[in-house]
Amino acid sequence: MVWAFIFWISIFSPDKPLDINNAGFEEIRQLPVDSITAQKIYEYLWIYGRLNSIYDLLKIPGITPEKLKELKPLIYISRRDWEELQEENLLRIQRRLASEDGPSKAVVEDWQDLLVDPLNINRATVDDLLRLENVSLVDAVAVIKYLKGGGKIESRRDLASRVDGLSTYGYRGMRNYVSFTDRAPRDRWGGNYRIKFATDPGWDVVAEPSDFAAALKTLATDTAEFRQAGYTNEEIEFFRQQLNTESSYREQMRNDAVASHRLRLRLGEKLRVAGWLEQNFYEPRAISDIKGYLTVDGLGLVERLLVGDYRLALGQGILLDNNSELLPRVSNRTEGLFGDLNENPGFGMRGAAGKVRLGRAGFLGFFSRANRDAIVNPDSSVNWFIVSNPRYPTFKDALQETSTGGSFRFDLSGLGFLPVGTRIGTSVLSSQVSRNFRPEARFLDLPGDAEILDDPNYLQLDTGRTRMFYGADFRTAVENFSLEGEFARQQRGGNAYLLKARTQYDYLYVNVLYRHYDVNYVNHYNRGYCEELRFENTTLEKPYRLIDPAFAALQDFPMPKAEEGVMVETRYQISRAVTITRAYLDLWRNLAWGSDNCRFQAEMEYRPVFGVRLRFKQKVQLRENPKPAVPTHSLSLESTLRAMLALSNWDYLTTEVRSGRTVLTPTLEYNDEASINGDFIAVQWEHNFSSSFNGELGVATWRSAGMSEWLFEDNTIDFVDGQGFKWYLALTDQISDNLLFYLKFRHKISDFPHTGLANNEGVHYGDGTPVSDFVSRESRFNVSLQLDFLW
Amino acid sequence: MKVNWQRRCLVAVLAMVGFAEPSIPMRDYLGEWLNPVPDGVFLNPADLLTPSPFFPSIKGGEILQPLSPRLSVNWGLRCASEQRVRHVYDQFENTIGEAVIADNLGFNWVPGPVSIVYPFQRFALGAGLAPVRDFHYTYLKEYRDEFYVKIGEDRLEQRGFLYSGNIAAAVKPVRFIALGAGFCYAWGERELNFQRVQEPDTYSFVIKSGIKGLGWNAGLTVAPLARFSVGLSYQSRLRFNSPDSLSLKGYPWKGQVELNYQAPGQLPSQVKLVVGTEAWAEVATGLHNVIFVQTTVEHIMLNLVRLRYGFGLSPLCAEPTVHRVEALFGLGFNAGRYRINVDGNLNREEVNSSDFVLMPEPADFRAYETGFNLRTGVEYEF
Repeated sequence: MVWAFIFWISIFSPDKPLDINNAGFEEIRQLPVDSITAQKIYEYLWIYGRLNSIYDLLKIPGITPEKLKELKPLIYISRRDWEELQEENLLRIQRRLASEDGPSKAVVEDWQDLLVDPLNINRATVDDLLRLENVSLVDAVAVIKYLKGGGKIESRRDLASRVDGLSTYGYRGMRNYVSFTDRAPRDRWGGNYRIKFATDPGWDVVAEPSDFAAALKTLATDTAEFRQAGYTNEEIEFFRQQLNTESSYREQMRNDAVASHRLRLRLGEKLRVAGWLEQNFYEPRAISDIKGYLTVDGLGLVERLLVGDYRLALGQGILLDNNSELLPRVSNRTEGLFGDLNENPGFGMRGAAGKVRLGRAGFLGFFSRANRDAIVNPDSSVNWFIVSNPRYPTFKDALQETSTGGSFRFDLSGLGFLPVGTRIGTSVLSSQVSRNFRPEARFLDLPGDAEILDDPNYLQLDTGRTRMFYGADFRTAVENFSLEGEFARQQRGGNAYLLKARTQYDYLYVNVLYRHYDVNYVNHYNRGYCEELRFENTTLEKPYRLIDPAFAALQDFPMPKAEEGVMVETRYQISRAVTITRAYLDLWRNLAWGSDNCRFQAEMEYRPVFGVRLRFKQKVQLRENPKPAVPTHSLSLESTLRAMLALSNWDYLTTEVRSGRTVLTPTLEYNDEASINGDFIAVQWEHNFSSSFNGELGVATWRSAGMSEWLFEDNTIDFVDGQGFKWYLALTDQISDNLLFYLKFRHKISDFPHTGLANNEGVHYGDGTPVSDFVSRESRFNVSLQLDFLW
Repeated sequence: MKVNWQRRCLVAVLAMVGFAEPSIPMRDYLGEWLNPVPDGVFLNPADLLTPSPFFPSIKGGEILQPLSPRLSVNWGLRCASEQRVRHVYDQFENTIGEAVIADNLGFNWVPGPVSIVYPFQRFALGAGLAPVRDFHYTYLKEYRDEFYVKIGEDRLEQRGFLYSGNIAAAVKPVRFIALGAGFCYAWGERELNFQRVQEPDTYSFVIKSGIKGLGWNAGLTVAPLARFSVGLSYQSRLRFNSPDSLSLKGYPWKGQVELNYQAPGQLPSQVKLVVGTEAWAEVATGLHNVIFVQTTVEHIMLNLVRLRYGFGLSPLCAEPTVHRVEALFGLGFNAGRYRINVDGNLNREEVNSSDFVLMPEPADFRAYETGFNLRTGVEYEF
């Protein structure tokens, strides 16, 4: 009894109130509350983790305002320390980064590491800063110049206010990934594990089993035509077997679910180990694909040494960027060497690579031996690479590519009159494949139909097994102006060059970009800025014009079309209320045909009051479509109105309306149709149940007559066609400090009316029964799940 | 196409009456599992000793038992839609779309489950009655001439439930382990009605079958760590001692592992991951064992409301390459001693022609099934 009294006195002396958030049940029992209320307080702390305010006690049954008044002097709420708050911020950014896991985002993994072990900005180089989100060369140089001038950045406020020339976007891109002093790494080791499951794996161009059946039927019924066109019986048999294999594979794919696992381990500051494996449920194998890498950073002169699967991007990407996709009209890229756990195999490199820095000189060397997917010809040569999703067994790992090369960079900052950030470099790339390349149109194009594959972008693909490329690049920045460029030449081939200039102010930037890619510059690692992909708008887009419909995946082959052009782009915040969010004009020529094209797009934002944003976007595109006789033209107009409303601190509503129309030169092929159009309306409601649990509900309806439209959906882009409706619900839940949960349901219904068939004798079911007018409906229900466990 | 004994039996029976179509999807023929609640009574008896709602069921590696007896009464609605399509080809044999040849939507009520749980000291008893399989299925196809005048129809309806009466008991020998066992008696009736009105082939028939069987279940729940528990459960094969006219002899055994994690926070949550298996291969040749996965998250909101969401993935036993994906949603409201729950699940999948128990369909045939289940229940704590 005496001891209990002493204990009570020791705890509840006025000098030492109880830290309720860290109290045990016995300590709570000592408070002047009955045992049931003490139990309820303990349960509350168990369930909610902590009391954020002393008034939270009023939520507990049995605690009255009078009781709270009595308890107030006896307890206190411990504040969350800086580290804990930082941790919360870190998790929020990690959650965002976890949703940005596209193939072009290999650098995201570096950003995730920088969240944990930030870069000391006072020791950073221009290259270090250019790795960060939305940081331009002008931004990076501004910071380095400030530091070289004797300045020291000690806080975010310093970064934002003292560095002349650093844009708001640059500051935002840096702030989360930099520290201001040398800090010991917080954890000696850490990592994350991710499991993803999706019933909609995002197949790009997928042929239906019936398409293969139709192709097989064509092969059988038009055998005479094939023979007349010079095909041998062996070649016809080869195609028949290929179609049969693909057809059987496609039949299995009714269950289109895909699951993947990814594990990354960070062992101290220098070592990273990661692995990834994927299982396609439609394949009998337990593991469909596997990747992994090990990196060592900052080992003496060695900046980074990497063994395993990696991504590499140099300069402006016209000599080497092994990204598996190429997004047209995107000029920003992050240069560097990164581990590669991306899901699309594409042109992933597997081997070893290293970066060494010796004073002003930097060397990078790499070696890779990796399998590539390709279209195989009947004579066992290879027609061309293919990046197809799904990967048909006839394409998968059809050849082996050995790539070697390197680059040398020399930093000229401050030498003579040369400004900070100036750099020159040269690069070389050698690619050797295990099979001979023989790109022949007759092995892709269906003989005797209305179109022939005569586009020089295909016809001038090169042959043989070896390719060599040489390149040079430079960059410099003066005040608020930067200039970057790259030149590349193919041995026994053409040239490619790109020049990019930028000038930026606090509220304005202007980019000007000029590029030129010769038709005979055939580099499958070229990911330079472009308007069109190499085989886009060619016969290769039309599965029904090809011997094998699966060849149509070539339309997405990530290599720019041979083009030359100038693009001017700007963003300008005119006032607090009015901003031109992006405007650009691109004038370019298709070098294969000499056809000229023009594209203009501008988006303006208006904020009439706080919480309301209205955006209007207009696109105008004039294209000349090459044809064997006379080129045709198309004029595309697209208008979009978007309203974003903050309904409360927790609710955001976005509505979007778009109307698009393309006017064409009337041709017999399209029944003299002179225009196609498409419209949609979409509404998204985002609700934050708490700071860690977010839900987004979206609905959209559309109507198109031949013109497909794209619209944002959660963190992806969706293409819609026909007439239809869809809804989706995406839930992002940070369940605990270690567990992130993302779940999305989506139901999309597209109708394609087929009318006027009454007199069309040819339309029929598989058994020959004629079919009159009908509406074809595609109804897809998809689930995506992602679980991230971080530690 | 796979041929199994059920299909052969059914085809033989129906062939006797000159029946050719329509087909019944295998899943609807075997019945739809209805996931009766609470799990403690119908699946893992060890869960009788975990309170509902879940907080604070596990504290410091200890399983806390419910404080008072509870009665639960539920009522549900099942909605199933089936769409049958055929490919349409143009004169060049290219596919130009899918034409719908039959589109059906059917509703039926699901009465139950009803259950009571009575805990005392380290023991708990539970009893309940629930429909565990739903045999309802509707198919209607109209025939029309070229002037869209109706000239006939196929009408097929299957009705009935398999009910299960369960009793279960659980004990907690040490503070972090609970054990339980139970018995069930299952009975039910399936009635298949078919009517074809099509001159001159108008005919109809009815097939009725009764089902009775016994089974048992057992479970173990362990809470090795604070906020974390593992549950193992086993439901024996349900053997029908009076096979129905279609010679269906039972339902397969089922085993599952359940992981529970409770996370504190602004919106406290419980994450549940279930991995289980059903041994359909033992029940009949042509069927396959399946492994299913389900994950759910439940949040406490405003101290009174519970929000649940999750997803489930289960292959079809007739064709394991077809996975059924489910979206799960639920809300719970506390009002004094009452707790009201509303739960729903939604699924849609394409069914293979081999998933049908009757005649083979044309090669260009496809079917899509959409299901929606809604259940509302009231729980009362004495």
